[in-house]
Amino acid sequence: MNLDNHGHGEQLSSLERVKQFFQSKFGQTTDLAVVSISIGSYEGLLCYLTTMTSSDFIKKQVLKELASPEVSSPPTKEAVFQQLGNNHFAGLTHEVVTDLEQLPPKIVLGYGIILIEGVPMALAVDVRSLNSRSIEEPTTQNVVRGPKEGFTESADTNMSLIRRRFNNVNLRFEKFELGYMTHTAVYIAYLDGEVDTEIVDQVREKLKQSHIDSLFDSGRIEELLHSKGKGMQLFPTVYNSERPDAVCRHMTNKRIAIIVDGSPFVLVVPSIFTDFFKSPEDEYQWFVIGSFSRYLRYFAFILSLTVPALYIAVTSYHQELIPSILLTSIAAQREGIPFPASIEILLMEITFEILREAGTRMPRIVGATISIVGALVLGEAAVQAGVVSNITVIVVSLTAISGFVAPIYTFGSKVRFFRFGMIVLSSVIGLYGLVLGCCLLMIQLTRIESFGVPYLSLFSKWDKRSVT
Amino acid sequence: MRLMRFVCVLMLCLSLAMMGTGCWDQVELNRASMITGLALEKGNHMKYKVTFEIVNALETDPNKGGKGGTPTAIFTKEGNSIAEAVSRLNESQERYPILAHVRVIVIDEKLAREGINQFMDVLQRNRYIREDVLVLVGKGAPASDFLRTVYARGQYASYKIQTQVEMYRKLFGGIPRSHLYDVAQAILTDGRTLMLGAITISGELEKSESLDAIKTIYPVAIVKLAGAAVFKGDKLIGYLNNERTRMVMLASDYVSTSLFSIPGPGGKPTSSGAVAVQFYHMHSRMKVKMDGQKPSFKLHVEGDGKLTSVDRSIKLTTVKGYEELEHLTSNYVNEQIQETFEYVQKELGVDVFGFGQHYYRYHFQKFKPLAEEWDSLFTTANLEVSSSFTVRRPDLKTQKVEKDGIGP
Repeated sequence: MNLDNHGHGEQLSSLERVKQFFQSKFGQTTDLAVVSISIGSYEGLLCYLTTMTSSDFIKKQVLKELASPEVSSPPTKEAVFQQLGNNHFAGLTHEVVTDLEQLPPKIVLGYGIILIEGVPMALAVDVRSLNSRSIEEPTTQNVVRGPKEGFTESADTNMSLIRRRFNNVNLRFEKFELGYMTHTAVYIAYLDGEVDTEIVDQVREKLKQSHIDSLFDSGRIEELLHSKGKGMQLFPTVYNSERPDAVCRHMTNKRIAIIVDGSPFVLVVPSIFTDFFKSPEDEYQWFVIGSFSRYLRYFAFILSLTVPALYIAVTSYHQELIPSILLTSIAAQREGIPFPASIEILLMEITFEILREAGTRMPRIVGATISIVGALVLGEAAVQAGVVSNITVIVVSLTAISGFVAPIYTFGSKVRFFRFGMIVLSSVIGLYGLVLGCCLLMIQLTRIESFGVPYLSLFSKWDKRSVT
Repeated sequence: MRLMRFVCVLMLCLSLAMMGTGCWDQVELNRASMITGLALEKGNHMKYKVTFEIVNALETDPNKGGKGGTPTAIFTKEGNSIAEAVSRLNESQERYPILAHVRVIVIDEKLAREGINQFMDVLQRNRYIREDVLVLVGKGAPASDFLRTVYARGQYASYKIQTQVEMYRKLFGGIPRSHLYDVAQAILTDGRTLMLGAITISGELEKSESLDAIKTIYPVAIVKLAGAAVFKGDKLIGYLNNERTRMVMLASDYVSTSLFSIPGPGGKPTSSGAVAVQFYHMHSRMKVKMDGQKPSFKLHVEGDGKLTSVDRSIKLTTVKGYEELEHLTSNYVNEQIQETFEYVQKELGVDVFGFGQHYYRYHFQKFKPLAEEWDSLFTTANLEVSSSFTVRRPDLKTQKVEKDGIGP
């Protein structure tokens, strides 16, 4: 550290000092390569992290260039840098650095540093070459018809996937670094001219002011992007997608995409209620079918929210609402069931939640077990044992299926959470409780804002032009 | 932090309040039982005797098929009011009674003759008894017997009676509309007479109480529909048979689908050569005016339909054939309505057709002074019936299948 006190440029000229400096910065890490090379007739040094590049890349792109005959006879040492930068590394991102302190962060990002004895400058060349997952079909948001590409963990790939879809000069990417331990690269993407600049400023501000230690998935910053003081975050106000086409479609609608390096889920802000019911596929087919399935999703949302609560309220408080024949049928099934309807439903709902959780976390090899056990627990065996009635199984399965219709998984999971509240309310005060619960939810929904955009904006203010 | 604390305490209080006060009106389905039918009779020891038909849900379940028991259980309670009898139901059975699914209320003939207004209030006031529950009069048998006839279809007796009444009314029209709200309407409206559906039992009831009764191919006893019970005020005064009830209902525009069987030439109903015509979309319009002290009614009936059977040779390849059919039908219907009208005038002496109601609605000022004596005016009135029926199609055949004969 005592080296910091000396002048900057001079330190770069002494390779011995630079080596010492790196040693003190990086310690004993094994992936730091500090290689003495000769550039023409001069003595030089090449530093990079072996974990951020491949030896193949170094060999082909760097060492080969340095050994090429043109390098061997430059007039001065300084001219070597000029020539290297302008001719040999012109295709790679490179930069001339004069400050020793700036080198370690560069190395960490995957730059290779080239130094020449006696020259107070360093050339930083981007030699990053990482293995990443190839572009595959998205696993969480499937379409039958439509692009099959999905985002990957590499932000570069993701940005490229977006750029490919916009052959437009107005597309902007901006880089931020988040997490004081990980320095994760976070990019925002938007269409300049389309997007509301105030919202972009707000997003920038929020990303800059974040104080998180690490960032491994975009889910972590979702919370950060919620508008504070605008109601509890019971509903997601940040859209996420694995599909480039979905994200791009949103960007054409004045939205901002946020790409986090290492996460295949790209965020979109601001997001409103209706976004979570849209699937990109709706637009790829005949509009009638698209609209139909979209309305079906709203219907399923209401079903998954209210069906169990409705069942409880109606069977244990308002028997007059059920058609007689159905009531006799339900009563016949409930005959000899030891628990009240509410306990029965809660029991089955929780069982289902456990099954779902187990199904998600289970190693794929033992996945078949879930379906066998699940079918037994939730199905015929439970009915035959007289623990639950057939109708409860129907109610729970209908609810469960409806819960998965939402194209965005995070939305569906929040709905599941409210369902329990509804069940408790309706089992305590009947239909009144259900209506009360729906009112509370509605009040909450109207309060939510996402970057100043009311969450229910398409419903609350009906404007033909704004419906997309 | 203080705010959080406040919110938490508030939530706790709210949830406690809700948990503590909620659930009071909760009824578990397997601790409750549905009452599906009520039969009201005069009591032996107290004023009323109420018979309840209570469903044994397990036995009506089509999937499980039950354990071979009866689909319903019958309980009888007496009380000085209907409400008292209902409240005493739990002397005999263990479950919470759900009244919301009562389908029929059968009133005993004897009770109906004394007047039904004395007990209608409890039925109309109770929020669980639906407004469209059927109120019927049991003709020729104690009301409770109607709930005792088991039926092969495995459903409870009142369900069978209800659908039977509704289906019959829809397809034939031989029974008046007799929902709970019709009772209220008839009682409240001037110039209208209350008519309720009448049901009767044929067969041996004693044997019909057992499930063995439905193991024979021919039902031992069965509930039949027997036209209308006619009231004067709220007291039963007589009955109309199915055929006459249909004509009354047709005249008051309550029948839209029905079949007329026109007897063949010869004048007697049994004469050969009958024609049957099925009509849809029937409508009737009435006109009422006063000829001095005597009301005079005009009735026009119209409808269109199809030929169902023709047992004489009428050529339907020409318009003439249709005209003949339409003419036959018109004559027949006119005659029948006229006959019914005269029968009602003579035997019952109350305006079951609702001419008075029509006059009340369209000529209120003229009706007002006559309101009190309308029924006696009705018995002196004249009726002029006209009708126009259209036969639209002959179904598959244009002519009765028979040889035309060779030669000129």
